[in-house]
Amino acid sequence: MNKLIKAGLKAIFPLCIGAFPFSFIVGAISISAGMTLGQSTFWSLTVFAGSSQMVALGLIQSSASILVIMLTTFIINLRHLLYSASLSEHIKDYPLHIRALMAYGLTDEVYAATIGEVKQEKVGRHWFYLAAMGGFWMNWVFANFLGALVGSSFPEVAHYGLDFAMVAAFIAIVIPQVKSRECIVAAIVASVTGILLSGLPYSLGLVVAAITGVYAGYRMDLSSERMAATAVKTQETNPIKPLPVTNCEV
Amino acid sequence: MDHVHIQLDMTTFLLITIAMVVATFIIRFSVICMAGSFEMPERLKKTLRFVPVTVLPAIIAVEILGSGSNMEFNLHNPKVLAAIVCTLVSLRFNLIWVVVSGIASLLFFQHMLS
Repeated sequence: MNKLIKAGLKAIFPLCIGAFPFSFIVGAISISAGMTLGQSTFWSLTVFAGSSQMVALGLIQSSASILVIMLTTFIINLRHLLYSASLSEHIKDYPLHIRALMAYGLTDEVYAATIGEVKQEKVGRHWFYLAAMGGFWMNWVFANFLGALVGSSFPEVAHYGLDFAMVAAFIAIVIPQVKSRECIVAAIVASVTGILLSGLPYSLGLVVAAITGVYAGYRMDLSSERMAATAVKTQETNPIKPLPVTNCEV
Repeated sequence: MDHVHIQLDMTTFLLITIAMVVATFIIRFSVICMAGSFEMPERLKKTLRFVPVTVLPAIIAVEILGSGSNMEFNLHNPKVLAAIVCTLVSLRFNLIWVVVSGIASLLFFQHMLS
């Protein structure tokens, strides 16, 4: 168990570095949106969703209604539905309260850092996951606290380029995963769609981009399978190797 | 960002927080709470492997190039150059070095191009 906790913390550590400046900035902006230090910290501790928090702050500043804030949060986090579906497959044997706890902390970073290990379905994998999640959560709240504490005196902190750490971390995670033809196509379709629709409000473009990319990947799978099937048929009369079925393993 | 220092009143703050917690948790828990009560089709399982390789590249692309009318896709954008460095570094080294080289190269390119 201790070993799994250590491994979980180790897996999330680089992502904590990546998320730190982001959370710091969220903390800093929350002060100018009218939150107190205590409110800001409590907010980060309970909501735990970076991009929604960032967008919500913009909405709070333009005095949007609570209903709009809730709907926007919902839309921005729709991508987590896919994480939820992906993770559920590998933790279905766990009791509901453990699964609820795991769901509570299911962010982009926690998913990215843990899915590879959780997928292997080893005994006690929840310790790995909960350690990664807990580490990330504490880092998130602490960075937010610091940002709220000192960030408010540097309003230009968002322009220092430190938020690029998050992008760098995402690149490091995704590049080794994009190996097969299917995954490359899915990634390119999603990126292009994301760019084309980046003008849509509430980061809605990101949701459409993900769905379009996943659909493209699915179509690629179908055509690859068809080709593999044809190759097998040809093999009966003409014995050559069938096309390998490739996967993008996380 | 303008500095209007209106304090959020406690009720509004709590309502916003609860609304956001509920919205986030419902999505994250949606499929996980039903796990095991139904068998996910093989096809769906196979297709779900595309989730990380679509969401992350889309976030990266928008983060680097900017959104809507602020888009900047050329080699004068320091983020594009830094992202190329990150990609190359990621072929050989692990995450922590990608992050370090990413921030360092961004600062470098920002300095060079300004």
